[in-house]
Formats: sequence, C-alpha cells, structure tokens
Amino acid sequence: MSSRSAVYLDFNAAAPLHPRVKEAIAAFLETSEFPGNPSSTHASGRKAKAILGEARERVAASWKVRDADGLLFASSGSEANQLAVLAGRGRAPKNGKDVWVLSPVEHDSTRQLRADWEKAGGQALEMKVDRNGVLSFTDEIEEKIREGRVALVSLVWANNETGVLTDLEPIAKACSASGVPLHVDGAQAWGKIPINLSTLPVDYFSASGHKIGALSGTGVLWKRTGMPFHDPILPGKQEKGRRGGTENVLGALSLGIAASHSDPAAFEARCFPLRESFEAKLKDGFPEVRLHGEESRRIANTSCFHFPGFTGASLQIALDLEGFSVSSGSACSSGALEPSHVLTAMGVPPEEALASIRVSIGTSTRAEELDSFLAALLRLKVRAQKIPGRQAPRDSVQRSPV
Amino acid sequence: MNRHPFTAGASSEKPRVLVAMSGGVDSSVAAALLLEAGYDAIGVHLQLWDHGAANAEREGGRCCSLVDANDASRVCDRLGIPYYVIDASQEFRTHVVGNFIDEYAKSRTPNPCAECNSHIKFDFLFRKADELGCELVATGHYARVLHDLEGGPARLLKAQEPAKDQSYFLYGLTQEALKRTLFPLGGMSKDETRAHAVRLGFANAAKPDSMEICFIGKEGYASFIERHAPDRLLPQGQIVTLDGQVVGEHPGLHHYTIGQRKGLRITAKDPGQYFVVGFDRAKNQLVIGPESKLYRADLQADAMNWIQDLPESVEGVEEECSARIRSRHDEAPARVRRLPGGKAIVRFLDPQRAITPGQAAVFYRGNEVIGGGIIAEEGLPQ
Repeated sequence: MSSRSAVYLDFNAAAPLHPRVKEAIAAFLETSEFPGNPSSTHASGRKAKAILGEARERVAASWKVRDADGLLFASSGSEANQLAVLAGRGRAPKNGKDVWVLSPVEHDSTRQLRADWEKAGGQALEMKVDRNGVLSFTDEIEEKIREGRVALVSLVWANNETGVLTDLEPIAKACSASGVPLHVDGAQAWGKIPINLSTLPVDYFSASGHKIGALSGTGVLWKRTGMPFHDPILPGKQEKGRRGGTENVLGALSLGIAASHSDPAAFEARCFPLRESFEAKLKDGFPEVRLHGEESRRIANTSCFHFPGFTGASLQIALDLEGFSVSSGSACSSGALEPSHVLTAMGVPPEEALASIRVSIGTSTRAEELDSFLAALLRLKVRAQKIPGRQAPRDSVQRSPV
Repeated sequence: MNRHPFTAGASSEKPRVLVAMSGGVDSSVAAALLLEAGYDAIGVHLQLWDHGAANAEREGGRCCSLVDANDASRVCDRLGIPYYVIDASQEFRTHVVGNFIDEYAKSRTPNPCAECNSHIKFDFLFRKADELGCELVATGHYARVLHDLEGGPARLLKAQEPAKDQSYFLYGLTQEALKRTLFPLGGMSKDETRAHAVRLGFANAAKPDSMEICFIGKEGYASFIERHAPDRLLPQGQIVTLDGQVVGEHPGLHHYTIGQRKGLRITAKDPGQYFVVGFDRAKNQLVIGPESKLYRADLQADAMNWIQDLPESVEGVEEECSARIRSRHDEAPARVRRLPGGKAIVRFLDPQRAITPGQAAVFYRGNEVIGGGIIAEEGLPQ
C-alpha cells in the first residue's frame, strides 16, 4: 500500500487501547501464575475468577453502582443491549405489558429486536426525535405508560453518530415514578460524561469496552438488584447462570483497567476546545456545511456534518485515500454504506445522510491533525468542483424504474 | 501490459487507477498486474443487486453475492491495496434491470451486460473515479484500448485471444471513458490469467466464469419478469403460423425470443421445423414459421454509439464493416450507414439468422470496434 499514514478521527467506532490496558495485558501474558478457567475450583481457576471480580469492581466504581454482582460481561455492546432488552422486556408480551418503547435513533442491535417482538403480538412505539436529535415521549407513549402497558423503555444516552445527549434524568424519573423499567445504552456516554447509577434511576445499563480503550469484543451489562435476568441467549452456569460460555478473562481485565482510567472531566477538558475550534473553522471555511445536532447538548468529541459535492459515500472513501479515518453511515453486510438511520430519523434526506461524515476525536487527537483534515477537505472540495457534469445516459430506449 | 500514456509523464506521482472488482479471477488479476506495473490501484466492488437469502452462500455463476464481495476484499488485502464496496443498486435497478423488464415487456430481447457496461461500469464508475481522484478506471474485461499519445481519440480493439473477446459488450463506451480506461487482460488468454492468479496465490484462481445474467437466479428470466412487472405483461395467447393458422397457445410472449424452437407447444405436423419468427403484439400472438423465415439481410439500429466521430462530410456514406448481432454470433460482412438521431442502417452481404430486436449490433473493422447500437423493431417476415 502506498504510504497512507492515517489520521484517526473515528474514536466513536473504537478508541485505541489505553496505555494502562496495554501494560495490564502484557502483564497478564507474562505472569507465571497462569490464569485458568474461572469455573475451576483450583488455584489457577481462582486466579482467573479474581481477575473477573476485580474487573467487575472497577466497572462498578466507574458507574458508581453499589452492587457489582449486577454486572455481567458480554461479547460486545450489541450483546449487552440485546441481553438487556430480552431481560427487561421479555421475548413476548406478558401480564398485559405489550408495549416496548424505543427511540428511532437506537443502535441497530436494539432496533433488531423489534420485529420479533411485533411478531409475538407486542407493539413497538418509537419516541419522537426532532431535527436536533432530541428525544421525547409521544402522547401515545405517555398514554400507554399511564395504562401500565409498557414493558420496557430502551434509549441511547449519547448518540453514536451525532453525539447528541439525551436529557436522561427527567425521562428516568418519569419511568421510575410509573414503575416502567428503563434500559439505557451507555456505549458512547461512558468515559465522555459522568455516570452515576446510584442516583439515576436506571434499571439496565449497557456499554462496550473498545469505546473506552479496552479490547474489542468486550461488553458489559448492569442490572439493578431485583430486576429480572432470566433469558440468556446462551444458557450455562457461568456469570451466575446469566450467560454461558467460559468468560473472556483477558477482555474483562482490559475492560476493568480501561474503566478505572476513564475520566470524563479530563476527556471533556481535552476534546471540547479542540472540537469547538474545529467546528468554528469548518463553518468558516465551508459555509455550505450542515452540522447535525449542532444546537443540542452533545458529547465533547463528536461532529457530524453534511459536506456537499460528493455522491453516495464517496467523501468518506476519498478522505480515507487522503489518509483520514472518519465514518459515514453504517456498513451493510456487503460492506457498502447505507444512509444513517439516525440522520434520516432527524429529517436529513437519505442522499444527504449518506454524504455526511462523522468526525469523533479522543484525548490523543492533536490540533494539527484536525487542521490537516480541514486542509484535506478543502483539497477535495476543489477537486469535486472540477468534476464535469456527466452526460445523461443514452435515452432512446425507454426506461422506467422497476 | 501496455502502459497508459499517463505513465509516460514526468510526474513522480503514480497514476491512481480505480479497479472495478467483481470478486472473480479476471478483475483480481487485473488489479495485481496494474499494481505490478506501478499504478496506485484501488479496488472497488460495486454492489449491484441484493440476492437476499442466497447472498451469503457460494453459488456458481452469479455475482454480487457476499461471497464475491468477500473474495474481492481478500484479493485486495493480499495485494495491500485499499478496497471499498460502493452501492450502485439504485442505478443498476433503473438502468439495467428496469430496461431488461421493459424490453421483454415489449417482446424484445435485451442485452443487460452491454447496458450495465455503458451505464454502471462506466458512467457511474467514472463519476466515482473523479470523486476519488482516480485518473483511470480499469476492469478485467478481455478487450484492448489503444490510447493516443497526443491525446487524440482512443480506439477499442478486440482481445488478443478471440475465444475470450468481450469487446461486443463494450461498444457503448464513449471517448471520454475510453481515454481513461485500462483493460490489463486484453492481451492475455484465460489460461494466462489463471496462471497469474495461481502465481499470486489468489484463493479465487479456480473460480468458474460467471455465465448467466447476474441478477437472475435459478427461477429463470421469465418468472423474474413476472415477479417484477406482472401488470405489464400480455397474458397467454395464441401461437399462429405465418399464414394465420392457430396451432397452439403460449403462456405469455415474454417467454420467447426470435429464433427460439424450444418450448413451443403446437399441434402442427412436424413441430420440430417451427421457430419463433415474430410477435404480433396487437393480437398477442406468437408467430412461428420455418427456419428459412429467420433470415434477413438488413437491420436498423438505434441508440448508436460510435467510438470515433466521422467528419460530417462522410455522414450517410456506407462503411464496410463486419457486424455482430448477438454475443455468440460470428460477425458477418456488412455495410453500415450512420444516420442522424443516433441511428444506423445495416445491410449484410448474406442474410443473417434471427436478427433480434433489443440485442446489440456491434460493428467492427478488422479487430477494431467502430460502434454499436440496439437492433430496432422489424416487421413480420414476408
């Protein structure tokens, strides 16, 4: 490959391993006391089990939960989301609770559970999202809550694509007051804003490891004491019977270390000024740019915007070829990009959504990297302006869409 | 491999070429050869059609499955070049599949591969190439382009190896496209290509060639059309001989093409001697006749694309050429006359069998493609 040394601006997809995590992994690999299978009762097994326990304590401390036993390690944030929904809502309506409330800007892993619920006779009601990405209950949802028909509310705290923050407290309190269980997808919030689950009435909280500098392939779910957890995808004796299969000990270790070093205050202090300066220069240099969710409260590291002049997802590809890793839409199974459902839900036209890109930075991002990114955008804009209008397809054969 | 004139420039920058990669062995080897020749190659797989459930499993002869995208991705990983999947399904649906259905609904027999090359592989791909800063576009087609060092018109030639020549499907390329097009396999036989694939360690080295229409699966084209455009097809009707005698029923005209003998359920004596010779759409009748009635010596083509423009003074003059009227037709000597409005009139020296409206007629002078178009409607044989 030609020397395309990438500037990495996609921290919302995955953050680089935290330096302390790297050290902990190295120590794990080098240790003379081999950590075995956590289910074994011998010394080696106890060693592994202790690693899991310590990791749980570290995550509990990061989220300020008193009960670390409510924490369950999973393979990913996606799995944690699905475990939460299946536990909180069930697979099919029962006891007259047939409504699942979710938002139209949820992660795919949550949205995917909609069809089965509806097939089982349930109703899925989506919250309203305005053009700034702000979520609120519809009248119908409030009515169902009053009628006691809501099995679970699932919502994302910080949106992965726009960075828009949901004002969680009033929603959580309203759910709590009505006895409606609440599942919060905290994947993008963790490490970026303070999390205090001892004061916030949330019942299920899911997150993933690689967003905060742990290994990818790690996720974690917390459930409040007393909340049901009876529907494992993979039955087994591990994780107190909540999830089968030998635990990913190294993954959990990395998660715990990353949790202990996640520091929302430092993150914001570092990222916010960089992001503000970047957006100011972006708007100044490219008045045609449209920033999504700009007027809303957002996590400090995310800018999502439409940049005209490119068709489909070409801008993201062109930027990659220039050496900049940013994201655009979501990849379908073939790897082709589709318009982001988050943006289309906010009223962004699909073509604009597909041609929008997300820049998400981290504490290691340097101001010069963002400046060189802006310079690349300018080069691409100039290039796009030189593209001749292509001749229309030959038209003597009548065509109509299928 | 012939070098593109761009590489002759003094610029130290490697020319960037977008390689359209299907996941098959041809485009994989094309990418590798370009890389070895010093180009900055990037692999692009166009997602043209969603095969749905069949998508994730290997099924010979169909492209655009996840398996193909994955094969292309593995080749690019191995070559260490960037690889992207670009969704062109909307364009494909409109220009290729839509046209395919329209044509059959009009009892014509389209050539979707030629349409795809004109509209998707080139129109769409060049727009992408521009956006991605690629001066050049390459595919794994077996054909050759001769570029003019002085920037004059480019010429489109047959492949070196006649057995694999795909120039017939490429007649729709414009000068604008040809000047920026590379066909690295044009001088190669399929065996040589496979040998390169083995040398390069490609996992798809032994992958069979795609033979069928890529968006049509096991169901066959007729039921595909019925599924997508049920309201635009004529119902079942009569089969008649040229003298108007009703000899059977047909399940819908879209099941037939000119020259077809199979699938005629008729009660005539000696049914094997009958062929489809035409369609009477006003009466929804399939017209059959003896093989001799399939031969004609002239045709009109429209939607013409000429590889090079002629000076205006010679427009309307007959040019000697050889013409090919379907992909597996041995080209026949003919005279072609360019007419305004993208039309052409062709007279063959000898009558040709089953000249079929909707198919492409492509004109050659020796090894060189001079142009091509779509065969227009004909009346019923006399």
